[in-house]
Amino acid sequence: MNVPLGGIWLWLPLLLTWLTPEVSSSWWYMRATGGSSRVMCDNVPGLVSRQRQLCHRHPDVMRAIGLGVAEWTAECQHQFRQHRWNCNTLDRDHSLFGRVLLRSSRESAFVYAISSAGVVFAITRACSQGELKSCSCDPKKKGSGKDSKGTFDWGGCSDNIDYGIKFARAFVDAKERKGKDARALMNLHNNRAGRKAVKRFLKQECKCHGVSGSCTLRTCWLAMADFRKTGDYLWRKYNGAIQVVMNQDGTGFTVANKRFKKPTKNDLVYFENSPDYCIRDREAGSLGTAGRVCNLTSRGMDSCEVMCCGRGYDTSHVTRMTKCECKFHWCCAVRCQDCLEALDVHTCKAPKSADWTTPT
Amino acid sequence: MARLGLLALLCTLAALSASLLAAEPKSKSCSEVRRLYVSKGFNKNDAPLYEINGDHLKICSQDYTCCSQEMEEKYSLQSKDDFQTVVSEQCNHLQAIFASRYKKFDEFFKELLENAEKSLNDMFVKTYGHLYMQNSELFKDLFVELKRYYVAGNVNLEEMLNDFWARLLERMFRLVNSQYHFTDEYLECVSKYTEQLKPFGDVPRKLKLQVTRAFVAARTFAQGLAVARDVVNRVSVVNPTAQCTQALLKMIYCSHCRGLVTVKPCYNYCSNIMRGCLANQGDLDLEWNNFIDAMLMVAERLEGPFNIESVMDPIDVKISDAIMNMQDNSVQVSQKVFQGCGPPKPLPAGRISRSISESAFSARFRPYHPEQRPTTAAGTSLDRLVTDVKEKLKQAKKFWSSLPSTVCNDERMAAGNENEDDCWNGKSKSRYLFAVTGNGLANQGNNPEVQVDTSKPDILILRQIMALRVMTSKMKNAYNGNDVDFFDISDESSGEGSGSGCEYQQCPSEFEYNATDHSGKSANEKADSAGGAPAEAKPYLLAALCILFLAVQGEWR
Repeated sequence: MNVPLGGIWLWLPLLLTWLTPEVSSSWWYMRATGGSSRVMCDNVPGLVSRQRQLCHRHPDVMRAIGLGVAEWTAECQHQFRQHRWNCNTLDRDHSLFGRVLLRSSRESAFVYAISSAGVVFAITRACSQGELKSCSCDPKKKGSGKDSKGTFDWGGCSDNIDYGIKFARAFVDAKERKGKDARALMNLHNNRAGRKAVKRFLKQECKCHGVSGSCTLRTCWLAMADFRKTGDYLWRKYNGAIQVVMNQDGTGFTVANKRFKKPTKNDLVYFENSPDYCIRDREAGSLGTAGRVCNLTSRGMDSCEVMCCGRGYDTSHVTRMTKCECKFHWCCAVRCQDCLEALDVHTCKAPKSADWTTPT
Repeated sequence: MARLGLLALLCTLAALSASLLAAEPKSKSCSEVRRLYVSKGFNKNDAPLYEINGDHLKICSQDYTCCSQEMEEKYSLQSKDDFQTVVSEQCNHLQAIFASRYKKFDEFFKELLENAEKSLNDMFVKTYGHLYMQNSELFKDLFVELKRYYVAGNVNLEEMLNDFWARLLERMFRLVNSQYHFTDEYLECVSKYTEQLKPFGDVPRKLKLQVTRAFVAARTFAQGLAVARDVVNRVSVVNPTAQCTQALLKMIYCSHCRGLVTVKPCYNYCSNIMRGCLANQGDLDLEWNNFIDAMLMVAERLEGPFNIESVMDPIDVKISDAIMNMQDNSVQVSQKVFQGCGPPKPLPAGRISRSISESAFSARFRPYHPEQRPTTAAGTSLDRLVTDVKEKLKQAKKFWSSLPSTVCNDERMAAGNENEDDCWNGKSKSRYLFAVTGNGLANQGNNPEVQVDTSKPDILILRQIMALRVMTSKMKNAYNGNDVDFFDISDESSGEGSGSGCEYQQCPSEFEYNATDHSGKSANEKADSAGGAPAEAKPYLLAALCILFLAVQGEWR
């Protein structure tokens, strides 16, 4: 797994370029001009005018979105960690996911949904942290309420997720609304599914007020759950994604296979079947699985048989240092011993074809 | 001899009779003009019954006229009065709007703070009981400082809140470790350690942000309303120049001298005269519109993220959140503090205090449902106040540039746009042929009706422009959540030499309009009476220029 690059401003242009994967982003140039939001907004390639407008008007929101990129890309890599395509970001290719997103596959559907959800999450959290001047805690959560345990006062800071959704929609969808083709409609649908997914995991948290354990007054607020929950939910949607075709008047979708149900607003949709991602294919954006770690004892996607596409695997014996026998010392330190651990690591073989062994 | 005398008498009578017959057909009646003149309360003896030679008139046409010299003088004063009355009516209406809205806002904010304090007291008495009452002065001081900020402004909100949390921590630390005795030095060590430990969670940081933004926005907005009220009040007193007065007389009453008592001035003719007479007021418009836009922006914040009602209504719950965080974390916090600051001294055995347990109270009673908007005794909520003010602000835009047109729309001043061919154009009942000049002083060089000295802007207007610019800049800071009192003349003047310091020392007084309003007016009058003597005008121009410089500096900061 590639570790996402550090640095605040590195991620903002990378985020923005996934909107136009065919355009190469000179993000190294963005870093040099990161000090000025005006210059930054005007120099990110692929932004449509509406996005540039929002960028100028809300530089603090742009910063929050940029910082959030690492989070949703890490979530994507977590969900695809056992898959042949593992949502890797390419250091040498500056469009974040490369050409994978050019194909209208279910992987594209997931990436659009998780990134849209990530934007909602980042904005809403920054809003609650008080980092954004254009929003605050949910203004509707005031006064008192009632739940199964009785009455409570709204307190704390309820996440203003409606603001996050509204801004994310205005910003992320701006480019798609300029197009009328099938791919634009697919992206709009999947973006929306991602935004709605975050809202599903808004939970009520409460706290007792009073001296030493009493509950004279109870205050509650609504908080977003950990982003992992959204990622898990979208992962299930990815596994159940529905292949569609455009309907006759071009306004919406119909299922490609009549035996399947029509997609709901929460489903992910795609048009094209995915490649197998077994071999390196520059056109498809596939890196192939040569050199990937696989699991000898697994029966899932990360098993050596599946991951290596039947090409076999190599085994190497490695040793590594780990912490063990940790003990708590009063007060307040934890001390551990260093232990040596030996284990086998299995990696997929490269294809045997002479054509593929030739360096490109 | 007697016969010769009789003949002479007959000749004289014949000549006189011939003269009377010749005069009769030439004179028009002035009875209607006379009637109107008398109806205004003037002396009927001033008004001739028939047209007379106009050689004695100074402003109105010197053709045959129905006006005596006395009439022209009286009409000149009357036209000036008419003009001032119409302008005052327009300005007084706007001024009253801002005055009433400022009063409402001021009442609302003060009452909001009172209610928040009372609500906190009620909640904490029920929730924390005796422990709260022993330490309640801590919370009273918080509200005293918040009120002082709103009224006077010279409170650093961030420092004040930091101080509040530090004091609260100190009290709670003693309470949760009541078996120990803490010296002042030890407590100082505690506060240094706990800065990193964050015993109250993130509540202090969030509350600081929210309170600062909301209070800055609320205070600045209220001040903006007050400044708008004061600016309009000062500008509404219009003293026409001699050239303006001449033009007004010509426009309003010279038609009477020609016997045209029912003919109204042409609309465009009126517009040109008003743009000349209100040239300086027109120059206010740019800064006034910027000011209105800034007020509208802050209003958006007040309705949304910087809503002071949303901050102050639940402030008791927020502070209680922090207290509960400290209570939950107190064991870990105390352990870390003891490790870092060393073990504290235990109290002597006989004086160990017992913790006071409080019986549970029922949940706090709320007088309104969640759906019902809370209202203060002022009878409104912040949303309704702000929405109302936004409407008035939008209507107030372009007030100064449209003032000439507004005045000319008054039926007492001019004919409507429909009567363009049959109106009084200053000389006759006909069409007005000149183009309408632009607004503002710079455009009046070519005004065909009013001779305006474009090199001498009105000092009073310049001062109002500065006041608006300062407030606009404060408004922009408030919009961005900053509490920057950028104009601090004492810092600036301390670096100046004693000579120029004299002029700078006048600057603060320029912004304190209440204190120096009278002297400002008298200075303006002196400048007028001296005919703009350089010695009189120069200090105020320099003051205005340095204010402008500082305002620009502040705006860029």
